[in-house]
Amino acid sequence: MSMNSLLPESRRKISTPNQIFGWVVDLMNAAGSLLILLMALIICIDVAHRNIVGEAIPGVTEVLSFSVIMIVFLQATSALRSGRFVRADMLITPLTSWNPRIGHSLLMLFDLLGTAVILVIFYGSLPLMMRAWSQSLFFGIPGVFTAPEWPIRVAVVAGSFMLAIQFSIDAYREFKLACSRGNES
Amino acid sequence: MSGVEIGFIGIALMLVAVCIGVHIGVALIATAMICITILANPTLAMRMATAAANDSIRDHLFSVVPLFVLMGILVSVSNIGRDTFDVMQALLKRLKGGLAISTVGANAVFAAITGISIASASVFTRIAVPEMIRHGYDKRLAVGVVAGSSVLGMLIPPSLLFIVFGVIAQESVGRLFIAGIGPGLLLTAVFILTIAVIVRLRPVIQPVSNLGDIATPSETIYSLISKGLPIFALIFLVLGGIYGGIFTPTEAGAVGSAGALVIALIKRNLSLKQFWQVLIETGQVSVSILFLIMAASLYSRMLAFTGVPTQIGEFITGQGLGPYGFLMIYILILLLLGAIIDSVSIMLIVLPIVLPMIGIYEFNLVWFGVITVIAVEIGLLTPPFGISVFTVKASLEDKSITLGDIFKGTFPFMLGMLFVLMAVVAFPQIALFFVEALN
Repeated sequence: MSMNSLLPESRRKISTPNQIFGWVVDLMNAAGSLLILLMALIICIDVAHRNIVGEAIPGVTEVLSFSVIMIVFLQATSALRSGRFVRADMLITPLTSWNPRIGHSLLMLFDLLGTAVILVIFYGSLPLMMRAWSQSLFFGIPGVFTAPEWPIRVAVVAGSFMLAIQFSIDAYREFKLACSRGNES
Repeated sequence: MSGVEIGFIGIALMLVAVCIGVHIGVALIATAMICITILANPTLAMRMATAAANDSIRDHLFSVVPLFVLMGILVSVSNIGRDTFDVMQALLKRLKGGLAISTVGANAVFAAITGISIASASVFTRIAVPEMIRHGYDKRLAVGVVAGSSVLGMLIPPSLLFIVFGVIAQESVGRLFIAGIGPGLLLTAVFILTIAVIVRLRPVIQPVSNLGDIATPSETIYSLISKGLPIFALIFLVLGGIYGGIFTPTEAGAVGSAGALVIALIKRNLSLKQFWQVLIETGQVSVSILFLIMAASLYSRMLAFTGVPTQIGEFITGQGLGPYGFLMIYILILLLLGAIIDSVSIMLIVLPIVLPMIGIYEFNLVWFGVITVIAVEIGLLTPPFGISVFTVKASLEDKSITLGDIFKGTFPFMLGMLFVLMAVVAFPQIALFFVEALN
């Protein structure tokens, strides 16, 4: 059964020559998927442990909460690349078929807006990452369970960087479409 | 400009951006950043955006999103849906419109092991629609039944929407789940009744003399039991585990995924490659939801900052609106938004504004959650943006059926949902009976 058709959004054809970027995105996506599997496994083990031994495994909640952030930033770029970011297309789709130049120009602006907001998050997260690394910050409860904080911060910084690039790639594609369709009509 | 004015401009800006087609997450973050910049300064805007990205979803409750999506996608590839449909069909095929009724019944049962409607919609489009069309059913009725009954997936527990509501409203997910049972059963009954009325009013089922080469497989008691057993084992595992106190509702996604995986492995219909595709798919669906949650948390922090929620609350109570007047306006807004955007986004956008008002009217939060979820789910079926309808369309093999056909076919079932929604508003006991019975 094809999983591609489970969701309505059709996968976009990516026409960028940058194969390495796509490869990194797929790698991050795979890491995120493995992390989801790992989360399911951890919860099942925790449930079994709690019911058999009678006590919860320390650190499970902490590990789960930081896994979720990692998953989002590992897989967001791939989700955007496959056209999975939710948008209401009731106006923009008819507009684009009515006047491709205006439609694709607008879509380009939307993608540029995406690039901008994600860059702000990237820029704001940089110092958090530096601090987590240089001061060896950790999360959890000392004595019970602790883990270093920097892997999450690195995931946020790297993930938002990749996401910003993907938004600009999308913007560039819309730009080219706006130019070509504009010339045809 | 006062904070409240900026807040209202922020809401308007966000709605315009969403309507013209900006990615919903981007629209939320961008308007929040702009409003915070005007209210305070760009540094604070950046700091709040960064905090939202780094910490807002750092609650282990959100880990349930990927796990429930995983469970939904796993059960949809493991053929459990087809077996459920076969069992229902064997039991109900003598009734007039029996296939359509079987679809509703199978959806109701399937709903007890899946928390996402897109799973139900895609599974039953592939299984039930071809079967109904082969038996001479009107195409619109066939797709309408599937799209309509897919909403049961998120009403009968477990349900992703109840989890999202529980997380935002800080209400027990377990109690919300129980509260979904009554309305879910009522909706199932209403759907069955709707079908019974349709098949009597209009000639929607043409008699088919020759069913072609594929005859309906005859079921024996043994084959029915072997087909019905896995799903009942899974239901027992998921619901029994939650209410037997073995695991929490938020852990049910993980345990249910494990159960679905075991069943798929025993039945040998999941290759390693397919399993990998399931994982990739799970990641992409979950991230699109989690990114929205992240964006919405920044947006709701911005709103709280402007004081808009209190202002709207005072305005509405100042209008002398009674609780029912308020509820009607609230439901109307949810229905309007439901025509434009997806369920999770609506709840994330509206609840931060509305929840502070719950206290004023002394509403029962669980009941309010059920009303919210049903109203939001109607949006799954209304044009132009109806996720369930889109999913049916994407999963259809018969490409001659248009989106318009599906929306039209779904219409009677949408009316059924409206009826159930009003029934729950008028008789809170429909939702609260089981909750109180278990207390």
